[in-house]
Amino acid sequence: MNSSQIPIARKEGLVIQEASGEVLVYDLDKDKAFSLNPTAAEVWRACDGNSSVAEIASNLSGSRDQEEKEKVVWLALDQLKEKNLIANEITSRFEGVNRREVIKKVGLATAIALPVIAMLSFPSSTLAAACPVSLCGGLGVSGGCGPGERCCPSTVIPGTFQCVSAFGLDCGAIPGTTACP
Amino acid sequence: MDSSFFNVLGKSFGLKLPESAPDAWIRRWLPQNSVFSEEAVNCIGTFELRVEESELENGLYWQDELLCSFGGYDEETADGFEALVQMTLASNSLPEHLFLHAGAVDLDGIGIIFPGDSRSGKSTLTRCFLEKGAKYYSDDCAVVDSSGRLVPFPSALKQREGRKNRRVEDLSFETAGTGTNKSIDLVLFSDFESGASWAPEKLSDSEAVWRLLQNLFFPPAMRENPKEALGILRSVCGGAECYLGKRGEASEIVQFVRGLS
Repeated sequence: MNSSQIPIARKEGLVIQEASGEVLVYDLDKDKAFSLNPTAAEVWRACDGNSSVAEIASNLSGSRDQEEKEKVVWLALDQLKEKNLIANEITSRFEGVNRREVIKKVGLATAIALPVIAMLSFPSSTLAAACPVSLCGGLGVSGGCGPGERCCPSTVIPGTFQCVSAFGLDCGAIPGTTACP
Repeated sequence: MDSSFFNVLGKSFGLKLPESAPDAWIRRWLPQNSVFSEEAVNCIGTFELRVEESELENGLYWQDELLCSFGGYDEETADGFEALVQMTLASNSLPEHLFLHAGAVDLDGIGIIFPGDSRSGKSTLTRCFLEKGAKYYSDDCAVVDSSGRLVPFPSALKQREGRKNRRVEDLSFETAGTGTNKSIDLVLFSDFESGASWAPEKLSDSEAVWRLLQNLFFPPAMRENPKEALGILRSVCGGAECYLGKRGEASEIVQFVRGLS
């Protein structure tokens, strides 16, 4: 509940692109991309290590009262913290509270667009096989599936399973395969 | 086919094939604008088709790793090989090129890409554009260079019949030549929905970049060069108008594009 806390936006290990008030962030450590809508972006940009939550709220665009603005800032900080986009420790105002309920209440009470952060993951090409490798027994270079390969149902030879280079994708998304039964 | 290498998108790839493999079938899964040669400069790696050893290990290999089993010199096997070859090229593409799940054409000088998942109607839309006189760049896998320009990467046009693709044999359409990279003026995120009418919303740059990120042909490549990839996507969307909507008939998209110019 302490709005005197000073959040600091993480900058290290990120690729950041800004346009039209929105921010795209790529996390080089986790290989995830985030899209911050204008409200989330405004809060994140304001986390400069000098401003308290209360100060960030008072500078937030929109004409609602301080209490409502602080709730919006905390909603943004909650998500930013969860996505590892805040560099220092902060104690969330909504810790232990159902966020959906908070969003409903704040959303009804404020004219400010609620902060939203969307996320995309970019898989590595060395994930585990999606179907049991035993189904691919005898197929593949070494009788099972090699590194970076998955055992998937084949559309090339229907009714069989085969090891295919996974490229980090799931069976069904890999050409020549269908999803595991 | 005696050549031991094919060159595409400025890179060379080795090719080892059994003598029994029919030329026409091989050309169905290699990129249509490949240039074959007996010499390579900076060969990236080698594709090998093995059909002579034990049946279980027959397949298409990339750098001695199995990409896909061999089912015969038929259409389905060619489809599987084609997509995996494209993925292999995409995985070796950044920072010079970015591959997107998208159709791409040039209609009356307007460079257009229309990203979408499988079964979103890309091939139908591509065919409709071509019938209206557009130049062909891609029907499923669009390639963009580091400046955000469209690079010709045509594959044999396909038409879906039920769950299967059928290749359109009679191609009388104009294909963009190698080296004719084109600026992208329009990005259309159009999902087919029976009975829908195209009434698109205009997207901001960021919204469009975010949606293009979801249409990367080979998402793991993003891990290697995220900065370059985001830069390319930003170049694409910064120079283009981007729209999102449901479409019914493909012809209404063509009318929409002509109405913009």
